[in-house]
Amino acid sequence: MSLVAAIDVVAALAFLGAFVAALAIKSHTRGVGASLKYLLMAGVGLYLFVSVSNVLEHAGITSVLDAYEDFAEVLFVPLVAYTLYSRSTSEQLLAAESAERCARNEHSLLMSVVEATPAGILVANEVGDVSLANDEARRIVGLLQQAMGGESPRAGAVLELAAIVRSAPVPGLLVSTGDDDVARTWISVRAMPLGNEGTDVARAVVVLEDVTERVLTERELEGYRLDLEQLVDRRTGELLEVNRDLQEANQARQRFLANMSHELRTPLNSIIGFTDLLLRELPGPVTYEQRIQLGMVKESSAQLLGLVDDVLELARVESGHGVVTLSEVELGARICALIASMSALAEVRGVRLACDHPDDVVVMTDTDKLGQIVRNLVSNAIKFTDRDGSVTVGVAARGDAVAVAVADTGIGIAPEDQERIFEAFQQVDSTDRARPQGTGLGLAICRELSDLLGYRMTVESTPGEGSTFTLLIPSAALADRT
Amino acid sequence: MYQESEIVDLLMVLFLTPIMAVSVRAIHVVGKRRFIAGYTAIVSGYVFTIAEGYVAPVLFNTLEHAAYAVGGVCFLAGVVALAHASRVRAELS
Repeated sequence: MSLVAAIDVVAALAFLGAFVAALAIKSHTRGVGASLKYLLMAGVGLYLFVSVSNVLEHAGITSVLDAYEDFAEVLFVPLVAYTLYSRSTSEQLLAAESAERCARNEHSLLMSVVEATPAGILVANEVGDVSLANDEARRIVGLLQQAMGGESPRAGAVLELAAIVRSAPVPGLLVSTGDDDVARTWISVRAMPLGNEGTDVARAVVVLEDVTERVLTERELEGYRLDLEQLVDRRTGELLEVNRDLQEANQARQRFLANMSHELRTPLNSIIGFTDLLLRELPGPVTYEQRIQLGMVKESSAQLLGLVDDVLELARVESGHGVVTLSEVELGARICALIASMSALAEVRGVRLACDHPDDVVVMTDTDKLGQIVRNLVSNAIKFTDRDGSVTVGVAARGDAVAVAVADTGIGIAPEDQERIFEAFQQVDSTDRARPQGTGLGLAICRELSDLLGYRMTVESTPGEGSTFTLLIPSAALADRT
Repeated sequence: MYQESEIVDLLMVLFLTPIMAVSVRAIHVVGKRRFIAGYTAIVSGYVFTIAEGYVAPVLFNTLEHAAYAVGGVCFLAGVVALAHASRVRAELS
């Protein structure tokens, strides 16, 4: 066998294989697309025929097929051209079908969204023609048409759509039906421009929303707001008037207390002074009975003077005229010195008085006012502690603050009275007639002075066991000596 | 010397190939390059057929038949790939 014959055998086998393989192609398209398989088989078949003819010829078997080779070869190129054209057309058709299917799906989705949305949506052009509208849009346009007298005008005329489309984008426009506030429907109109799609006519998507309920609610709220403002103004005026009256009454009370106290102090000082003169027998001798009675007069006058002084002090603090003068004070030493000056009183009452300040602390405070607070607390403690009892004044750090505690073993205070005792002229009921009665102003003055200094006063007490009054001085009052 | 049918074949190739080149770019077929190679080999065979009438007849005759054989192998490869792809696609769908 010659070389050419051998090559022809290879060609024949290759084309035969291709022909058989083409039979196995599974066509997945219909119509023109399906013809690729058969066109391939035809093309491959032509050259299978040519190859077989060549084999027979070059192997010296027969040349009978050679006369037909030319026809096969002439057909091949047009067949390939037709195959390509067919395939190209098929793919274009498939692409067009796919695009159309996509467009249909998107249109279906868009229409579902448009129909499902609670707002009215319509597409209109600049001459007012509507090309698409959902049910809600038709309902709203119907309402507007009814409001225009039922003449069934075009939607474009009802809504002035042409103007809206021309001025798109419209962020929010409020239109209403008629002039009757009760039956009026309020519509919110928004518009977004659309592409012209090759035409000169402008189009826009118009969104209509029935906002009647919202508008009515807003109006109602606005009415409430105005009413409320008027009410607040009226009440503020009344409160200002009441406040002015209260201030005037308070000033009158202050003036009355100050004047009365002053008017009382002058004769009381005269009574005490002249009683003292009589007791010292400067005008002449007094009898034993007269001395006792003069002593009672002096003691009562002194008590009355103390009461007047307390009233004056309370009036001054309450009126806000108390002036705070701050200075550095070594708290423990200062309080112990104060306690020492009251030891005579404690001795008379048979009460042990002690001062405890393990760590001295320096604070910025008003010495006089702090001293007055401590004096009042210690005086009260001595007054309400039985003979052989004790009163202890301690100064100690408590957290960031400093606590000045006045603890006694006295009669104690019932829980229900523990807040009341800080009010003016309020005293704990005592059945012990021998116990000296106070004015009921001491603790009130302590509380007022404590507030004035920015301190906090507390009381802990158990009836029959004693009481502890604590004055908490905040850390801000601690002097920085570093 | 040449035969008339061979000239007709060559003319059709010269006339239709540019048109087919435009179409072949637009289509998506598995084994497209192999089919193009097979077509090119067969068209080369046409040229060799005409050439053998003028120079080196034995050589060009051999090249002509070799070109057909190459074309057959390329078509075989292309059709096998296409058949395989169509079977896979059919299984997936």
